Amino acid sequence: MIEIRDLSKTYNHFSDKVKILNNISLSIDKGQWCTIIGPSGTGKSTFLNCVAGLLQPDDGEIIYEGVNIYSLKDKVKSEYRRFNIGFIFQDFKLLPHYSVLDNVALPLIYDEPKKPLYTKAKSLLEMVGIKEQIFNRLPEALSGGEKQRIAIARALIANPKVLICDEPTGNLDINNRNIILDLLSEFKNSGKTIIMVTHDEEVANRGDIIYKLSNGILEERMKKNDAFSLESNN
Amino acid sequence: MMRLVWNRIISRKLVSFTIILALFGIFLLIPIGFQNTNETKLAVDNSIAEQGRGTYDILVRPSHSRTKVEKEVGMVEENYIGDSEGGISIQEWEKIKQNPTIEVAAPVASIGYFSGKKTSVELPQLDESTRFTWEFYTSDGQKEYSLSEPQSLVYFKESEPGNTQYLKVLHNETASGATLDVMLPQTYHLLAAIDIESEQKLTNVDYSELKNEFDSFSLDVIIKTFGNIPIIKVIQREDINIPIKMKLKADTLTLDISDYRKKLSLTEKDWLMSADRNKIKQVIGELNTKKPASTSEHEIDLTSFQKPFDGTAVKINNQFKVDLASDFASDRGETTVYYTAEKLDYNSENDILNIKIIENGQPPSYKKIVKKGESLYNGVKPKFLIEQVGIFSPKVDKESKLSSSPLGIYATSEIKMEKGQVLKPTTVPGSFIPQPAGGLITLESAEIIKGSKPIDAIRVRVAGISKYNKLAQQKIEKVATKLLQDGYEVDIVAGSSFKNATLEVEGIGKVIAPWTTLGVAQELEESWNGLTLLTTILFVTFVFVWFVSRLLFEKGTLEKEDELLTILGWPRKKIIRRNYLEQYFLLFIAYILSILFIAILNLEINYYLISSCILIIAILMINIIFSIKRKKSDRVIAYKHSPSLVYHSRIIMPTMLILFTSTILLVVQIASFGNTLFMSQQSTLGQFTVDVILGFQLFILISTFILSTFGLTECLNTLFYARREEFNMYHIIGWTKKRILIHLSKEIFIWTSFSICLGLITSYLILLKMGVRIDWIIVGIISSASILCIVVGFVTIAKNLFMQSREN
Repeated sequence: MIEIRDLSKTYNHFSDKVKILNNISLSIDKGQWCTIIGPSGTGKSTFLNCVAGLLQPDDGEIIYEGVNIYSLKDKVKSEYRRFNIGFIFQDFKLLPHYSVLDNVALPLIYDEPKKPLYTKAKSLLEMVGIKEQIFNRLPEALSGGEKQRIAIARALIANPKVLICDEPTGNLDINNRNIILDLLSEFKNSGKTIIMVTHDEEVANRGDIIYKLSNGILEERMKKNDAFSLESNN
Repeated sequence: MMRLVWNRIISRKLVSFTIILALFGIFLLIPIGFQNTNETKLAVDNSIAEQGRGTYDILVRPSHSRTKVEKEVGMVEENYIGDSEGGISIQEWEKIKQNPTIEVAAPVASIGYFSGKKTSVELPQLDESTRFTWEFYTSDGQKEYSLSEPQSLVYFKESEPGNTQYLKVLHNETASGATLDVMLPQTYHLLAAIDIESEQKLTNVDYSELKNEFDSFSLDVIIKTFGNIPIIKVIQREDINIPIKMKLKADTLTLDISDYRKKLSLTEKDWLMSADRNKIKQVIGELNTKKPASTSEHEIDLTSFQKPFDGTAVKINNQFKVDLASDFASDRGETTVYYTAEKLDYNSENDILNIKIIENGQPPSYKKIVKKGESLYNGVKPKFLIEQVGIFSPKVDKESKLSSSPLGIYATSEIKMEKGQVLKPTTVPGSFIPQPAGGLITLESAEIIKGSKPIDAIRVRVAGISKYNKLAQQKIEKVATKLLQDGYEVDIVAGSSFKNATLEVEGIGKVIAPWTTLGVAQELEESWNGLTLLTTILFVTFVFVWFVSRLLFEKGTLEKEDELLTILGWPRKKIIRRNYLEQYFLLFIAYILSILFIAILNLEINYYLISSCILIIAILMINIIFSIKRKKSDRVIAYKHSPSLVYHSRIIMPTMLILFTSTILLVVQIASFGNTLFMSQQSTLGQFTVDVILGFQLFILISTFILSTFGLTECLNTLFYARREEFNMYHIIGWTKKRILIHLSKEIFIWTSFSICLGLITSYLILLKMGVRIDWIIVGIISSASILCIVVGFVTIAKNLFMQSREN
């Protein structure tokens, strides 16, 4: 579904050039949960931004359903993001002046009629476990777990095929973390592709495939339970 | 702490630079503005004091004598006293004259259009018998008008000196055997009455010839013919000539005088003109059809020889050139016929004054005229006779003066067609060009012709004034009030000066005429001083609002950092001090720069003092605004309408306040500046004043514009900066650049249009109260709204594109 070919990105750090992504090639299938793991500053978010069409790589291609997204015009690239990709961030990125419901509806507010859009937003909020009483509240008045569930609902409003998650559980306690991961599992099971970056091993293990990003190079890594079963078999 | 503050200033380079620049502008502009206000006021006062006083201060007219056009356009045409109906008696004038605060009270009365004695033009006696045919023409500079029917005379070569043989049909004239005389046509000229002494004091012109005695021979003839009737002495204006041309055709005929003697039943010794008049007419008719052997045509300009009340007799020599005549005829038969005219009926339309033809003729008449008196040829004893006894030469020198009190009867300024062709008054009473007085008589004579209240206007010069300053104004106002209380129409004329008026004259086209404003100096002084004061107040208010607003939104942007510092354990006092310090830094950098600049420009100590005062006020404002504790909003439910506006109100409200003040300042300044400029252009004194202070007004206007732009740009920058995460979010979720811009523009449109509209309404009300012309208010509103919309639109689009390019 998504094919990443020879992806490279270099940043200028004072007078030095740091190659943060170095010829990365990767293929992600439909309905696959792909996790990228690595310590802070290794380029995980840069990788996600490149995949999402937000950051032009220096080299390489991102092929989505056979089309290189960086060959698209700005307008088409925006549409690609709007209808194909849902974003979930560590800091939720909810707009503080809009209500919970408005935040969820925001991506398609100019594309769909208001009434069905808000009905859809409400059902998504209910699906992620947000009660109707807080639909009109400001995000500032909510807990971190609630905010992230709202962010997930917003990511799903356009029914995207791909969810890009940048440390989605980084700001959450264990309980909320598990709730969010369970939700993501459900979406994965419903056929959505998930690309997630994290530095949390436990979170990473929820994915189908784990890659480790280190020194700009992506290496596939065995999952802990797979390694355990391999050891037991031996 | 100092390092922290300094680092924040450095990290926000562009914002800090903009603030320093704006503050520097304020530290420099306000003292310069104050100083210039004083200098401007002084310049206006001085120019008006020096230039504002004309030859007289107050114009007194009978009540209700102000004309419709005067009320409408605030100006009078040249020689506006002509064609007036009087209304003030000599006794009333004498009473006014006795007022000790009045130095001169010079009365003037327009009498009507009179004609002087006609004189003759002698035709040449050529070698061959000649048929002369002629016609007299006058001209208004554009067209020629015939003054008489074509006439003819047939000259016979058999003439001898003293016995000239010719045939001519006579019209109210006698024939002479000495010369071939033809009479010039009658022309009419304005006659006005003055008081010799006071007029002389007012104009420095010598009118003493009005005291000349009559020529004893003429007097004897008059008394013998008419008995003891009043004879009115007239002095004619020396520098006026009457435009008259003679078109003369000379046909050489082959004639035998004997044949015509027979036809006229005359003997060989008889003079041809002694024949029966009917027979002459018959023979002339025959001669007029006779084919000439040769023909020559001549256009002879007699203008330079013809004066209003005493033309010069001329002789056309054999080369058809003009010489002075030694033997001539003169005719006073029509001098007792005169005309009075009504004032011209101007209709004002779109700043153009329309004049219609009242009576078609040669030339057409633009006024209603009434014929008065009787021709002496009718055998009726006249009520009076006029006799020219001398001349006067007014020195009309308007070009060198910024102000000119319109004397009302002497102006001879050029009236031009749009393309520059000069027009002149015609020699008939109905000309649309107001004639200057061609002759003057005494007030006593005026009473004989016009009745007991002949005076149309009294021009009053107030005593004890050397300069037109405040004290002088008060003196003049006092005298004017007294005259007003006595029931007269009173105008303070100080500063009256010339202003071109566009006339649309039927049958002629567009004409530019120099009209005169009445009494503009005081109004001018008040309006310019008022404008300067208003500009300064508005500018200072704007600066104050701008400074308060920027402190408020600076405080808003610092709030998050303040919260963080509180979490880190900083005491509130320390946090406030940190916030003060940053503002102090910016303020002092700007202050020091401005002081350096003032020193470089070598300005007076006042500039330093004003700058320092601003610094103290600014420090106080910083302390007050930053020490006010803001109550944190505990709102949980989102606003239904315009949530982002409410959420960002801490930044948007000060921006709206700046926009509101900028709008008022710009509209009021542009409109009142334009209005004052326009009003000043009404007069040459006004134009001079404009030249003196235009620079300052433009300086303030441009400064306002720059500061408004700075203020708005800074506010919008801060707003964009505070919402940069939001725009990034829109980008991530797949909104196109266009969509983000539209979304943002809609929001900005709501609050900017609200502020601008509120500012426009407020300024409209202020300007209405100030009495500014509605067209200037509209100009102010449209231009200010456009300027501000362009600034807001430009900053919004530019900033949006800039932020999006960074996101990409």
